[in-house]
Amino acid sequence: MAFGKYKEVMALKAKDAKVTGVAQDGGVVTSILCYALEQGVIDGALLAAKSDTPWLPKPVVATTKEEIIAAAGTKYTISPNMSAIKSAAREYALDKIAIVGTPCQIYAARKMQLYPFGARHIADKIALTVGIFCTENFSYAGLKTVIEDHCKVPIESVTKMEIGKGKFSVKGAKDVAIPIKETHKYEQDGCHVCSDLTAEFADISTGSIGTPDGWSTCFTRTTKGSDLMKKALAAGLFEKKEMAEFAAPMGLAMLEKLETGKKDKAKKTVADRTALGLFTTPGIVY
Amino acid sequence: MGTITIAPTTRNEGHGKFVLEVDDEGIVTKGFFMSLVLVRGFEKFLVGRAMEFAPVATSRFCGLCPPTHATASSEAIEHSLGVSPPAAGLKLRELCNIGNHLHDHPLQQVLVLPDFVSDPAEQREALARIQKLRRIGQHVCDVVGGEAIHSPHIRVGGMARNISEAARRKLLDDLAEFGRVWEDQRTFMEYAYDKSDVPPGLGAHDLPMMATDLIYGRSDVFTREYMPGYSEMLPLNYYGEEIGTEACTVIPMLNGSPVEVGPVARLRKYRKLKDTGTMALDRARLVEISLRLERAGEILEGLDTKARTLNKPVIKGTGRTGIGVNEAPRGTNVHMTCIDDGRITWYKAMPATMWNIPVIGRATEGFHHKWAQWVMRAYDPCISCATHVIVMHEGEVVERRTMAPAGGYNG
Repeated sequence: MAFGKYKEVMALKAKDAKVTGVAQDGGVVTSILCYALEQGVIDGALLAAKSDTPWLPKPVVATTKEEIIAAAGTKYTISPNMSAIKSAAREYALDKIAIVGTPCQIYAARKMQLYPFGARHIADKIALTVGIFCTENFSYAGLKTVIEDHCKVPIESVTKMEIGKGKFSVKGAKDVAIPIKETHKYEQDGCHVCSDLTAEFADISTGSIGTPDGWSTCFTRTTKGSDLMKKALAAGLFEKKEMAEFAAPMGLAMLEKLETGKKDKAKKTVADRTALGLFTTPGIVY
Repeated sequence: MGTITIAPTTRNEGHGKFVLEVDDEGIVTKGFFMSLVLVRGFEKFLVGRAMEFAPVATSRFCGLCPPTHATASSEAIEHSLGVSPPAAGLKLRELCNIGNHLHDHPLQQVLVLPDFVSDPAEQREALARIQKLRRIGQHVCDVVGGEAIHSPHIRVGGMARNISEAARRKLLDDLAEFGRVWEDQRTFMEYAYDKSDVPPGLGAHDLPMMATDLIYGRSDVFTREYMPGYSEMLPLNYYGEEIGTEACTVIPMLNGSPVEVGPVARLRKYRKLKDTGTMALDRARLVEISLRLERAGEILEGLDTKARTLNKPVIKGTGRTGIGVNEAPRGTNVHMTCIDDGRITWYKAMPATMWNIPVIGRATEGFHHKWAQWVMRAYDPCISCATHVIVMHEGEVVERRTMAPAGGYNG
């Protein structure tokens, strides 16, 4: 079944200009977290915030709307958000923590909830997981190389990056788009065995694939995620469109094509590694 | 005339044993209490390890009172190096310890409950209250120490993290809830103690007492007032060959006598308490919970959550003996160490129950042996903590030996 288990899929665009001004696409993550915080569903969130180094994210425990908005926007590199969970549960004394992460980070959160080794009295404090679509991630050095050596744009001048329509594009000192093929060799190797593009185990999953610029594709997967989204929609946080409006080859057809590509590549990489005699994780869900 | 043996003792931490010489009426004429917990050898394996490992390792003396050992460890090393934590770090360290006391003192009530409360419904209600109190105490330790059991934030030089403003307010709310539940529980325990049929004078003795602080613990008080009189005896010499071969703790003494440590010792010295004995100890613990609750509120009200909490030592060692003393729930806990080139060259610990073990035996004397465990439970002994290294020489237990580091005591 494509896209994992879900209750509803929709196209969303945040209405608050404060959010859309900083959002990557539809501002779904930022909006839903701000709403959840306001409503007391969460008392904090683990996010990839800006650091002193341009485009190098830093995992933070955000407890205010301002901090959530300040962390908006995709940084196409590794941000170990889960590493902040112990701080959140201990010296921040949070007990309703939201986790935002790539599919592998959502796996980590779910595993922690099932087997809380080294995480006593922590996993029970996870109140919400928001997954973001991911095809692959880059090391910071890799990202910098793509931007500065391939796009030839100084990284500190970059205001936005995007991966879509077969291109890696940056807006900065210059606006440059390069074929995504050029970035492949900088992908993190572990990403090639990953079979999850749409964050199939999050409460709410969202990303840009399948919807036009300024909009996000959004899955509600659990009762928790679905209830929260219904309330957020009722409160007028988003403009909503049906995914059916975006017919093939765009919309869900595009998402399915990329997802199938990722799962096939994962199967192949695992087969190649097994043939080499390397250890491969048993029981991967495709 | 005869000997009564109680082994293992019940409703206390660790494995204890009573050997009581009694007269024809069953009254104890000579009482011995000893630890049967096997020596674990912390003081041996710490030698040669990096100094940062000491609080981590010594936390593992015990799962009930880890903060006291991590604290005493850290302070012994700080003392040896000549460093001290920033003010906020000291406050947080005290608060972490108080969180621990606020779980550990109520826990003793669980252990003595069957001795004083017979109605099962009342017992259940009391247990529910106690568990509420303990959850709050452990939560304070969780937030401030980074973990309720084995707090990683207690470090040489202070505390690894400060807490957030929201956490500070949350803890104040938690303590208010503790206060509400404690009001009911304290009243209940006082009533239970009032109507008990414990014979007056049970557990009273004329042994000296030691305390270094009302709540936190002061190394300088120990070094100045008590250390000069310190000596110790090996268990075989203290208990005699017939029963002493099983005992696993050295017998620490001041001026040749065992000393009592703990709630009565503290309140006697710092709050002019007059009573001694079993009921005095049980009641003193109730008073101590209230004192600590108040102090925790004081610390939180005045805490600067933006202040620095850790002064990481930059020097690697002076070779000087450092003494770290912390008033653990059960009494004065002393850790001593020498640091050279960032590594531990010598370590010794004299935890609270180590001091109290010989006292517990003596305190049973003069009363029927059926009261012996009541006497013991008033001390809330933590026997695992108490059990430390025995000195052997060529396979024989040495006749008399005082342990001292190579350079002598100059702390």
